[in-house]
Amino acid sequence: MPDSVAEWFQREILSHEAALVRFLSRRLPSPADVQDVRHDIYVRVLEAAERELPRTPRGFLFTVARHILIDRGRRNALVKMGPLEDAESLNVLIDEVTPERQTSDRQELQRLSRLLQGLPARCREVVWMRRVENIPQKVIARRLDIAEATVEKHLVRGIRLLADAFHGAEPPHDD
Amino acid sequence: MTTEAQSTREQIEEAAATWIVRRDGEGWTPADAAALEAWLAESVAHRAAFLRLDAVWVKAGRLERVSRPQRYRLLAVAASVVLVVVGALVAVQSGLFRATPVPRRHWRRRLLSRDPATFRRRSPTPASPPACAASADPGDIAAARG
Repeated sequence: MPDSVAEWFQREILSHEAALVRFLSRRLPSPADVQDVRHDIYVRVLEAAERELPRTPRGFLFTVARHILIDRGRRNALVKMGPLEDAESLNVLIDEVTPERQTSDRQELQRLSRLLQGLPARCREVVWMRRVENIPQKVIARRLDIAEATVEKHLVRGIRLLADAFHGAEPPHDD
Repeated sequence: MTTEAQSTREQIEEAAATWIVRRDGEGWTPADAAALEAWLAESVAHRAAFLRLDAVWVKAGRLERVSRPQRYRLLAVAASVVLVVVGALVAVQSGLFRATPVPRRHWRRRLLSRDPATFRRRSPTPASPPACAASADPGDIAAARG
């Protein structure tokens, strides 16, 4: 995977996840559905980007989102549809796609630090020790008197919860 | 309820997170790096999930700068400068300083580079790398339709 596509994806697409998740949450029945569709959208966007970088990333992202929701609506008769919601309503309203405020690097890190505090206790402890204090996993296992595999499990859980919170602008929570 | 899609997405995200955590631990061999590369090459879904999680992991690694108070950082820098100067003076004094060149280690800023070590589980079959087509597709809209 070329670094430039990877960097482009992280910089130009992931930065809109909060808006995308808001957009999807109003149109899908459950948070799990939102995560599934979000994933499907990213797959299609990355697929296209690896062939040719889209000129307007944000516009492309929401175009893909519309198409996937329409496809899904056709396949799945159980999609929640109110009286005003039809294919036309999937046109993205201007105010839904408000440009994200440019946050400084430091502000971003401070936000991540706050989200880290919101993790489940043991999970937070392990992620903090590993990522912030840079303690090796073996040593963490010894200090906390848990298996190395458990340390790994906490880190895996932690990174997933943090990603949901950081990209999706939601406080981290367990499903 | 798309349970199948959910479990696939769940599995992929879990796998991606596991790869990221292991890559950053001790016991990461070149064979592991190759296995990760193979897993990434298997599907776009793997790559998308990996990029999303890695973005946060990398940022979390820089939290150290935010958590440390400003004044102590300056103090730490000053102290380390003093130590380096004193150390250099001592080395010169005792004739330890030599003119032989020291090999430098180049750190590549890529997703996959880490030091070698042991790895417990491996993905079954390494896939061939994706063929990146050089020809451009009709347009963004066509690509969006999939």
